Amino acid sequence: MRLNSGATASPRFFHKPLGYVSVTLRLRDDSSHFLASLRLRMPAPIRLRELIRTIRTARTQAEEREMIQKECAAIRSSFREEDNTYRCRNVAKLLYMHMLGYPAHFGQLECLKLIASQKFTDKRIGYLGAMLLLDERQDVHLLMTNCIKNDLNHSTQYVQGLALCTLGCMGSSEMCRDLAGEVEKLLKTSNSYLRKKAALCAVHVIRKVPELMEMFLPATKNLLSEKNHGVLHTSVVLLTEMCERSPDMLAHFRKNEKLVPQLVRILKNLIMSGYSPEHDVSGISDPFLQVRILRLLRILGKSDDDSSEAMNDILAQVATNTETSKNVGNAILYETVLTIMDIKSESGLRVLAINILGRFLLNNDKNIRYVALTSLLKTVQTDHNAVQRHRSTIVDCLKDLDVSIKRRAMELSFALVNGNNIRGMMKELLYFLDSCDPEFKADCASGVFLAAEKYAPSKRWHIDTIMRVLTTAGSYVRDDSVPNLIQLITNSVEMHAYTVQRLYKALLDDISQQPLVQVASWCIGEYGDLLVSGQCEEEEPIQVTEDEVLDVLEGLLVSNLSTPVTRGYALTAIMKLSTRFSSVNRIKKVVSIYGSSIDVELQQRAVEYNALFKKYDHMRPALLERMPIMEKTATNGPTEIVQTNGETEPSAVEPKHPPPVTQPTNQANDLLDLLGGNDVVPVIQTTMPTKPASAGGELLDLLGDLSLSGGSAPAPAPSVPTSQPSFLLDGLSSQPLFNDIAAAGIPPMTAYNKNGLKIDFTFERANPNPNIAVITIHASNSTEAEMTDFVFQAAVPKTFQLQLLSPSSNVVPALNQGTVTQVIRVLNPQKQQLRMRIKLTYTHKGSPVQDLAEVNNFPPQSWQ
Amino acid sequence: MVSLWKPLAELSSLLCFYSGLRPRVAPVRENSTDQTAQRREGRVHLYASLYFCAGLEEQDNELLALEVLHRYVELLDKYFGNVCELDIIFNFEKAYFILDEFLMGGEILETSKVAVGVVMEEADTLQETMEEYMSKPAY
Repeated sequence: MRLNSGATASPRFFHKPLGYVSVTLRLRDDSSHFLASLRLRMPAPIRLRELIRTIRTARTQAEEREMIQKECAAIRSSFREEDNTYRCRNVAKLLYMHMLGYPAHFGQLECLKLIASQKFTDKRIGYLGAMLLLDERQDVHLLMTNCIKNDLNHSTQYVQGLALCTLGCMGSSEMCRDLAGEVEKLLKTSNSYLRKKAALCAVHVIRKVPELMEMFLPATKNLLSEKNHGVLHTSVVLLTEMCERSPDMLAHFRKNEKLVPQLVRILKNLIMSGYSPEHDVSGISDPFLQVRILRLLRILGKSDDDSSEAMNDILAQVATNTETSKNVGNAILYETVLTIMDIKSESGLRVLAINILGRFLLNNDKNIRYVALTSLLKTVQTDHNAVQRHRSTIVDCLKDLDVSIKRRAMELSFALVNGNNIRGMMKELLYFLDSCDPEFKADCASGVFLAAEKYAPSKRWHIDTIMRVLTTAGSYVRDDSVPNLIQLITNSVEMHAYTVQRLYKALLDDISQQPLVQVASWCIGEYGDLLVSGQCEEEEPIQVTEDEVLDVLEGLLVSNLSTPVTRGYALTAIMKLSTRFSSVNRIKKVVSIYGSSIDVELQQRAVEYNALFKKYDHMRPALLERMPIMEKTATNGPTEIVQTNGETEPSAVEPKHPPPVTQPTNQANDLLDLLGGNDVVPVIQTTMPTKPASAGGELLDLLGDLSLSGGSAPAPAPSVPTSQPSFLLDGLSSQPLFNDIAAAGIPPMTAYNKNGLKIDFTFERANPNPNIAVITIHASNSTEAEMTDFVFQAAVPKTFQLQLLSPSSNVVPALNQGTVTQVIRVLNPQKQQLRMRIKLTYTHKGSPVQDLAEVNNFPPQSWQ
Repeated sequence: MVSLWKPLAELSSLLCFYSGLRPRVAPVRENSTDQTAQRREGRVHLYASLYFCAGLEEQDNELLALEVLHRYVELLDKYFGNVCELDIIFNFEKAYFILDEFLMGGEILETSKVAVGVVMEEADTLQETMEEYMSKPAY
């Protein structure tokens, strides 16, 4: 039917305005005479197309609003009059205005009246109005139920169709419950027009009221033997819905109905059949049905070997024979790929699927590339190797212009990074980081850090990569990356000099990127001495003086670009340099200036540092010494570094130490049990104090109001990995640990020497309290095999108090290559002769060794 | 779903004025707050001077959705004969009727190009003439 655009197309009755009036004038009844006179006064409502034309002439929004308000008023009064004739026209106009966005709720009841009318025109507009204006939130909608029920049994199929359509689009659960029986009846009719509509209506009913699913089961028996494509399609949709919602249904359809062979047959016919003009789309026969069948096959084949087996051939056939020149072919291929990946397909088929996705990636059409990347992202975990083959194409997609493609390509690239391709991939990803939009930078930076952590081929590469990220996207890195990076740098001991040099150079260039500045100032604070001494092995050492370094740090403090947090870092770094540099006066000056800073945080730090310079100068070296290696907890989550990094805690002035090694405490109790003696006093373990300030307090409590002497301060010996024994000595040599000279010459002694393990004791006095003896044990191993899991425990008589600090390591290297040291503090108020029982446990050449010994040969000076 | 349309409606108020049709071809016309609704994507598709928005669920085939839109435009073209914007503006209710014969509740109802046209023709003949309209009872 060819319709001309414009006014003449509509049902003819719209054309009759005033002519109608003359008809009613002929009637003689009083009421109609009255009505006629009314109508004389009011003109007939304007036609729909008239209204549309008028509204389109409005030049401003205000004009349009005015017109619409006027018309709405006319419509409202017309509704009030219960005008049957023009109700249809008025509701149609109302629907138009509703589409433009104006309120139309007063027409809801009128729609219901139209639906109840016997006229097809009315019903058509009425049902349309119901679908547009009503939904289950309006109470009015339930009034429709009876009308729909009647219309479902109407003699005209198009009226039945209207009712089914309305129910299937917006029926609420109450309506669905009431009318499900009718729908089920229509599902069994032979009329294919009604059957297909009933099928989709049933889908809606099931979505709203899943319990009613069983009701439709018998009707589904013969659905797939239909020839009509419409019925076939809607039946497949109905079966899909049932299988998705109920595993029982799924099992039933797999086994009893033998759905898979039926579907395979239908699909095969579609592909093999000749050209059918009715269903053809660019040379493919009914792609909509094909895709729906593939989707149902996916659900049937999931986790089921037999079904998957039965559909292997047809999937391969579809995958290889479908034309890919147009979008429709790609749509079918896409669905096929999704199905292959979800079922238990053989590996050849899976490789075929991934290759199809790879081909999609090379397609010019953005939509297809997008779809391919999304699917690859889903499959990369399971078919990692197959996806790896397309890595270069995926990396190329990073350079695409479209934002969503770039994002997916980035996610996929990170998923594909592994130990083999890390160098190449990182180059591409860093290049991407340089050039991408700001919205990507944070995610990309985090991804780079994660990947680098997992697969870094060398420490230097790792640090270089981090530097690169910090310098290019420094302001976008996440907040928790700063502590993570600091921890990483601390743990890469041999790279300290190189790292601090590179960071210093980066600072000279640019101080605007806060994470970079924070990490750099922390490193300079820690390793400033390495920087100044020019010890770098990895690259050309730069000549830097102490003053230049302090200039840079002071520059950070005053710069407008630095945030308060950064200033805190800078101040602490300067303070730390007071023990590493010689220009202490300059540092003192800086620190005292900030004692009156407006920033409370800075002020507090400066005041406390000032106190360190004045009253507690003896504590300064110990408090500001090098940070030990930090324990790594989780890679992603907030690590313990957050609490150990002194910078992040406002109240902590000094750098904190890692959490205590809990081993010795338990074993001390074991020792006690073992020795069982009554004259043995429990060893009081206070190993690593988490807050040195308060730990000082603890020690004070313990030892009775003493002040710690700088020289014999407990060395927080860190647990160092075996590969770096030299660090141990370096670290120790920076503070005067073996203050034999200061200890007024108490000679060292050998406490134990057996099976190649030698333990020497060296003594110091804890000034000024002569009652405390600080003994340092040195364990050395003269055998060819190292001793691992080395634990030293001690117990003393009741009159003594003993404190065992944590050991430097629990591996005693072979052939006297190094020693394990541990500090014991003994309080001897009654000046009795010092005696000690020691217990040693270690693993030597694979077998555990344990030994007990008594140490009685303490030199008299140690306890007198 | 409703929340998806509201911001889009604001965006398209200019377009409404221009094409007279709030540009949405909604495969799912449901406005209810469906508690079990999965993630829905909204897509804006430019088609000559018409804008289409389609809400898709996670398991839906996006490329096929493009085909659905294309098929709908083809149906409009067949019905109106060389369809242009004005056809849809002045006959919006017909556009809805055609949609209702093609899709229902978010799913495709009829995949045959011919069948929809036939149904529309027949239904149009059922629409009463003036005399028929006046003579039939209202309720």
